Amino acid sequence: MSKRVDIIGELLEKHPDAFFVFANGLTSREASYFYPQDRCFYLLHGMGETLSIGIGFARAKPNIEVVVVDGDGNALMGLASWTLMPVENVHYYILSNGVHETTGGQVLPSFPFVPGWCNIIKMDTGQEGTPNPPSPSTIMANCQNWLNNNADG
Amino acid sequence: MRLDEKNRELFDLKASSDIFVQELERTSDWVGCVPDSVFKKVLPKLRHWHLAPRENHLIGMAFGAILAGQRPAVLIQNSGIGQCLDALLGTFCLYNQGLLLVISNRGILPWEEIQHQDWGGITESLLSISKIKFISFDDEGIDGLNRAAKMAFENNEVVALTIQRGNLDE
Repeated sequence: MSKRVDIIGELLEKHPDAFFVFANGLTSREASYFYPQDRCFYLLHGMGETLSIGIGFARAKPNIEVVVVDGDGNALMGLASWTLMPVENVHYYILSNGVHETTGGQVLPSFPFVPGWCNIIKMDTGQEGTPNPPSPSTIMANCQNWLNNNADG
Repeated sequence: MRLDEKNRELFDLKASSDIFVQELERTSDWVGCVPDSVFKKVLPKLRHWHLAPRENHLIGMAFGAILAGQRPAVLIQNSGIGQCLDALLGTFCLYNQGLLLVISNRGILPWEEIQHQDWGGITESLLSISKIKFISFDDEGIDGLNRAAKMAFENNEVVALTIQRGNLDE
């Protein structure tokens, strides 16, 4: 298994032209600190909505590849959004350590099923020391800047 | 007030579903809904709309649409506020983005089913304490829809339009 920060780096390399949506919590914290990029939207709250945001974006921009990076706790909270998948231009990854790590390591229930479009990546528990993520206005402005230069996808 | 075919009181008709759809599509270029019977004549007349399984995911999808540069409107029943308040606060409110939130205000009329009445009693209070501005379609009609959309997209804020039973043809 790997660390969260390494998996995030690998996904960014694997999808060099994609727009990314990162789940709130440690996923956004580590992504925004170690790999700050305008093509990344960092959720700061809205538990369970990472995939639905990615889907809303992807439907509006069908020519842009969209990568959604969720945590397993977040994904379980948003299971009803799975009914909106698959979407052709959405890649969905769940970083899974089996616990709610941000809130103290409470053990998660299992996923009741795993569809073919859902990519679960096992990872170690543990987190990197990070400062707070950028402010909401900074995140929005950076994404807008990227979109202005990639409007046609 | 007016009476329906079953002799039940309804609020006054403020706009036909045709006019409502026309203005909704003029002011917003992305429409989503968790269906409610108040919108049953509206939905088939929309050129396109997005269905979500729950209101929180509808808000998430609408937020994705605004990231992509669209002006979203969502149609929900008032009980759906209970499902989506965290999503609203954690996306549109936190990131200062505009949303037209059209809410059917069920549970106001005395004949409405008991399961709607609690929500009828708290909807406007809940919007107020959530710091979500709201405009009454019953008071302002189509002008209210246009004013709510203008506020939402010019000021980058969530603005609700509350619709009473009878305000639209059902």
